[in-house]
Amino acid sequence: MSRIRSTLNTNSAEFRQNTLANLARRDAFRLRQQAARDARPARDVERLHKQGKMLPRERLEKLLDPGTPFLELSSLAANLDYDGEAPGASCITGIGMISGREVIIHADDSSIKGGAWYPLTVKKIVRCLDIAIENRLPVVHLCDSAGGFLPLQSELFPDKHMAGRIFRNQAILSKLNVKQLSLVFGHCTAGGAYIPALSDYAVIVRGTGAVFLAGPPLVKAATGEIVSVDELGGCDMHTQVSGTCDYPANSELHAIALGREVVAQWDRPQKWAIQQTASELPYYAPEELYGIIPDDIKRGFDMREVIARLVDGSRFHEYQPAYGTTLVCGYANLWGYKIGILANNGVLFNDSALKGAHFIELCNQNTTPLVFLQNITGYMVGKEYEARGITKDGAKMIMAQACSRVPKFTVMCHGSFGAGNYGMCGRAYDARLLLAWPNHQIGVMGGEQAARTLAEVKTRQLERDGKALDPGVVEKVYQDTLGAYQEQLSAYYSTSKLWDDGIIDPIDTRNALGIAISAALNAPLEDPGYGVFRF
Amino acid sequence: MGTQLVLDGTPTTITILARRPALTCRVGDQTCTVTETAGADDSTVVTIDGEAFHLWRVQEGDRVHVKLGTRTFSITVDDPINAAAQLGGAANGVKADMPGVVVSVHCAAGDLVRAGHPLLTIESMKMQMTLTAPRDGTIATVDVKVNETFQKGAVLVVLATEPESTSS
Repeated sequence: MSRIRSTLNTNSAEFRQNTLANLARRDAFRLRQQAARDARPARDVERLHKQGKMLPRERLEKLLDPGTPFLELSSLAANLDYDGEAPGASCITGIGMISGREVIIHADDSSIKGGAWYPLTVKKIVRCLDIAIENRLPVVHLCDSAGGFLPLQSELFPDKHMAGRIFRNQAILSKLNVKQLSLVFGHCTAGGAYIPALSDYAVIVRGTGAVFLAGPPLVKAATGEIVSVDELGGCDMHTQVSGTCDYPANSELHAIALGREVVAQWDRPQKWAIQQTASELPYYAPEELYGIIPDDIKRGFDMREVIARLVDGSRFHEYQPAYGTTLVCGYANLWGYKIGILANNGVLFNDSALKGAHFIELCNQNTTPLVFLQNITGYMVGKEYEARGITKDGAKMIMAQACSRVPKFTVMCHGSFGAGNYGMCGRAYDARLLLAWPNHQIGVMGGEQAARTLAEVKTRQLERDGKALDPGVVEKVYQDTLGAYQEQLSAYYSTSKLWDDGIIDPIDTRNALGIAISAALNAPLEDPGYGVFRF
Repeated sequence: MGTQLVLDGTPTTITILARRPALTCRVGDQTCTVTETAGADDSTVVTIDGEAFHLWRVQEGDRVHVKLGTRTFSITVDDPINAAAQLGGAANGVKADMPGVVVSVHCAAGDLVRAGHPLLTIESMKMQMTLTAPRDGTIATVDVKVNETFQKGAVLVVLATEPESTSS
């Protein structure tokens, strides 16, 4: 496969400015991530250590195979919600290795309000288990939670994708023969009690671990019965009497060692065959991505320069290089895995949408996973393009993409605006993993367009009411909308709401995709087929 | 199809005649049999028609440096796709992939430009793109001004035809 010939000028002023801006963005991202991971009040940490408990990241370090990568997901979930009181949405999820098996981890973070589940905690755990289902990844739960955060119960309990979905997903995983292990370090109260109960294996730590539908205070309130935590749902009761847990452990370290042994008993999944060659590092340095990503969300850039810094040997077989040129399509290898890439080099026209749909069909028949690199302002608008059927051509691309049988992965490289987000496998389209760069912005339209549209509406409204046109009022509408909109467009806002699986440093994209593709090969391919294409 | 190599600047074709029981190749009008075994200190021992040589190789981008016995060679593979890419689209006109408006102009007629040099910044559907020179050359004409609108496929800048590429 031929190597991409980069035309990037690394001595240009633009490259240097972009590099400075993007390194500043990366540093700001790392600071936020560091704080979300580790900044905890000293007294909370002391309290946990006094109880003989480790912090969740200390547990993970002991549990995962040494020297293997751990792809943490949604590390900045809830970073802009709940006044920042639930960093990481009070739990840790990610893909890693235990006893040589690929697993996905769900770990409660009891260093934040006793590990209570906020609405976004539930969303993050449900997403973690969705990933487990989609990729047939075994799950290891590290349980240590006070239960649902009661002041917000209406936002985490009743709906389809709320707390009940966690246990529903656990049942479905079991039906699919995907193993689950629970390590009960702390309390599993109410719904949380079903996590070990629905796992194939459960280890519980004597003294600190407990599993019950209602804790002692609720039992007392309900029936007047006075009972201790240990009597009600402690280690010995569950491993000797009720049979809700399988293995008693004397300490957290003991529980972790038992857990590693349990995972070592599991059979290894048969991955489906994918075209594979020896892996090769990119020929062009991934660090140059910092100089490629523009400092301005309005600016486009040649995605081939990005592809050249992600894929093996910077080699790329471009499909239809002269047709529909605003969508770059082609084959490459990543970690040796054959992939099909669709990347935006401008707005989608009829020809680019058709090319994209056609290329997706080729990849589906050739069992080639799809990687979408988004920098999209939408499909072309205007009388001429509507008359040519831009809407039905965009629909074809969405049809081919949504019905794809091969795994899909999406990277938000810059802007993601309007319907282009749909065609390019946005969140609604079940990408196995959707990752975003710190410079990413997302919205139904850009901030300036939204503000201008609303200012226009306001002007017409004033005219209709026969009121004098006050430029000050219109300007205020414009500025207010722009301000509110800008905050919602940012990558931190979207990752806070779990519209993605996490922000990553652009130079980590290659490895994150490699881990994600490897994990995806555990699940069998879906049946081929599409709906009706509107021709 | 034989493999086209450039061996110390000289185009050379190697045709593989057989891979088993031993690699047999034809270079020019000479046929030879080659076997390869691992040698000491990271080298490989290559036996060509019964004569053994130590071989070391170093990859440098697309180029391989080989030391065979006491002689060194520099080798590149002549790939038609790469060769075509280096010709750089050959066309003189720089076209717009999207309809839009010119934001700024970075070149003027008569300028010497290298491939990748920014020529124009255009805006279309809320996105600005920089159009760059597809190859080294001289700007013949810049056909648009700042704030001017254009249709999809319009030629915005023209490079002068290179003297060596004109047939005489």
